[in-house]
Amino acid sequence: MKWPLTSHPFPDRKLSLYNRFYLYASKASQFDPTIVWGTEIDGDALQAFLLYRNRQAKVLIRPVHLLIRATAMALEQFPELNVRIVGRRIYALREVNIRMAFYHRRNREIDLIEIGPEYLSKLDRIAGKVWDHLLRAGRGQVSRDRDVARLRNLSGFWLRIIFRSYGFLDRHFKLPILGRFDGTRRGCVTINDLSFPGAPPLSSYKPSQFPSLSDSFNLTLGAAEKKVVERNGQFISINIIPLVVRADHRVVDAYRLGQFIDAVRGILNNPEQVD
Amino acid sequence: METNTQSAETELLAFMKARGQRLINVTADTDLLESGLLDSLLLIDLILHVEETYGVQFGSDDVDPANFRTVAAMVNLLLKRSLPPARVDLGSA
Repeated sequence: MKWPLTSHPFPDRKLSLYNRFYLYASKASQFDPTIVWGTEIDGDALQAFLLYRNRQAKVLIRPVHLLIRATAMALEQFPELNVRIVGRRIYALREVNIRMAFYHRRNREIDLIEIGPEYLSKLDRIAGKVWDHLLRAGRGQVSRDRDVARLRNLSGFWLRIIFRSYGFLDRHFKLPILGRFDGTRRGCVTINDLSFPGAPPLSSYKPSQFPSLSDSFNLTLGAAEKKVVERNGQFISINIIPLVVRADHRVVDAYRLGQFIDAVRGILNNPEQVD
Repeated sequence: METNTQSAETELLAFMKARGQRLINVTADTDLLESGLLDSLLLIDLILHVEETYGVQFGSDDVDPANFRTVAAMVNLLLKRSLPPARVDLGSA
């Protein structure tokens, strides 16, 4: 059993007025604390780095592995964003963990993998962890799959009762991490890679937020596409990669979020920084 | 299951080409990484397909760019895994 959150919440005096405004808003006001910020990454620089790394690396590196590393580095730079909400309080997470959504080949649905701090310090370790999980999931060897299978066998009535009860407890109390299924609550960030073949160009995307409120930030990567830009008086074609960030206004404001995204973007535009 | 280079290459190429128009011109020596054709979904599908078809198992250590740069490299990895070195039939390519 592990306790992912610190003992005490951030005191109100340390929160900005607008964060508190959303945090303490009445549910009857039907407020929307979602901020969505779309930006672009230099796809040519990222691709050149990956081609160089993959000529030398012992494990295949993909753009999403870089995004995970860049996000972990940005969270280290902005530790005040490595938080989650419980009730109407904001608690810091004890360590940086990052969730990644992936397509589970065997179950034919989206699932989550949690990447812990022991992997996040090195790009090769992140890639190794992700490939290992994807392969084991494809073979049906992930222990979490057994819990998912048990949940699937429940009737709609019991599933509703379990989700509602657990959701209520998780939203209002600082729960420990007990087993495999709730392990994905350790982090405050989810990474999506929507650059798969056949996916349409991404200009905007707002992923849903988990009812558990452990999902303060979501970063979604789209596929590279050509764009004509003007540089030094010349129109040239470059590759850009869209990056869309969804954030919770209760834990961050647009100014701080912009700085956080700029940090992620800066690392991805100059990816040699990740080593 | 005994594996030889040519049959494995043919089988893997057919598997890839069946996955869409963008892979239709892939040959055994096409650089899948430089051309950007090898995405995560395709890689996992390829590995799981090879495991099921040839009865071998790969670990995350095997997801080395050198092993998946071309179909020929994948077949080399498969041959290393599927038979003891002395019995590998490399002369049939």
